[in-house]
Amino acid sequence: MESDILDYPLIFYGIIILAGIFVSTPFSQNINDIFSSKKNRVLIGLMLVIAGGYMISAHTFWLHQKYNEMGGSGGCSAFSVFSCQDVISNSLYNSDPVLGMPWGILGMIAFSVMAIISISVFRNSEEKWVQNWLTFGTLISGFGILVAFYLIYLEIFKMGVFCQYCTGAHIADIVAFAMFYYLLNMKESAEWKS
Amino acid sequence: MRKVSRIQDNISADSRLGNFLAVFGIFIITIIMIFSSTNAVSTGVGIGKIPPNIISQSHAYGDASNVWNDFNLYSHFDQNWSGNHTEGKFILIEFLDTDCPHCWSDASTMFNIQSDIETYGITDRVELFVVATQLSIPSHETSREEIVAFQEKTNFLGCKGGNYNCMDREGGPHKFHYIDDINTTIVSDWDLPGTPFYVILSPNGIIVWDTLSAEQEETAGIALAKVICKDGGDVSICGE
Repeated sequence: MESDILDYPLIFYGIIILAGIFVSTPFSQNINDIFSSKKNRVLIGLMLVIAGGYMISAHTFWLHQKYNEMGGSGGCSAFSVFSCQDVISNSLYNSDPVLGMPWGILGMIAFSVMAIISISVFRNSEEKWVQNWLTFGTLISGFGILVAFYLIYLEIFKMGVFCQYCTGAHIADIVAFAMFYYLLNMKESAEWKS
Repeated sequence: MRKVSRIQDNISADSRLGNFLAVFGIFIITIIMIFSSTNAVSTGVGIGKIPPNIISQSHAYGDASNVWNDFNLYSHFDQNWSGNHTEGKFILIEFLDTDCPHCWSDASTMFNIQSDIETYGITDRVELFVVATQLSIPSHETSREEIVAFQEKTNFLGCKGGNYNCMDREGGPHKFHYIDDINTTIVSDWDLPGTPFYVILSPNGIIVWDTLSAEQEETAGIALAKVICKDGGDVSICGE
């Protein structure tokens, strides 16, 4: 079964991530009072981006399971540059080389940790531990970028195809990293209390 | 003042714990949903598993010895196979080393299976492949020329430890594809104990039999007949 490069679930997840990016910009400040604070805008945007990344990771893990299913059928084109089936069903590269866990599960865990951090910071933004938690969030999402580079290397040089869901998760992680880093810098400024 | 600060810390800690539990709950629900909506088969070598893919080059019988084409095992799988053994194309793969004495004498096994398939007219039910590897043993160095000579039973001095002419091996020419594993990538991925090693795959790629699971006196040919006839089938092949 072949499908378009951008199939419907991915479009839905992409809209959530784009909504997160939009909310974090000054364009959203007139929508609701809660968005009048820059800190709130970025934190809510971050939570939306993380939610999108989590859903893409969960969908990637679902594809991983589906491609290893007896009698299952592929969900993506097997004959184009974008082929989730070729990437996710590749037993050599579809799991992390250290723990042997499917990449989708690792993505779900990483985005879950980021979600706990962002929700906690949003609800307790004046606490002493916020600085450390934001640093931790920046480090986790930054490490995710290194993992993304490794996976992109595998896709280009080892498999010759890309999985659009993996790419979506990489984008969500990069955006999350940028937002965590922005918040970390903001925490040290007067803007945080405004 | 310090007491008030400690109370505030506790409230804050409770909030973080609540956030953790909420996210953890969503995580668990997601995992349960994924597992309940799929029926995944693990990857590996063993009954009921999907083997690692074989991506290499293969040589077809009759082609010049330097003509090798891309091969992808997974492209031979039928993901929509019904599960009924009376239909679909089963795959038998032998892993061999052209310098291995056991493989030399065992070459007749695949030839006999090939003959039986032709005799019973079931070429649409079975596909045969050989993965030709190079075990890391002295004097087991091989080449594509040697592999093709072993496959087609042609004149080439270098088989069976390098001392025998490949045209003298047991059995007739093998008319099915030989897959190049001189760099031993495939054998390494499959983590095989040695050669010859046989494996039978169902049409959707699940391993249904391999050498390690063989019963006493059960050859690859007998196992293949059992697999094909599991749900009944043509009387001339499967009997009454």
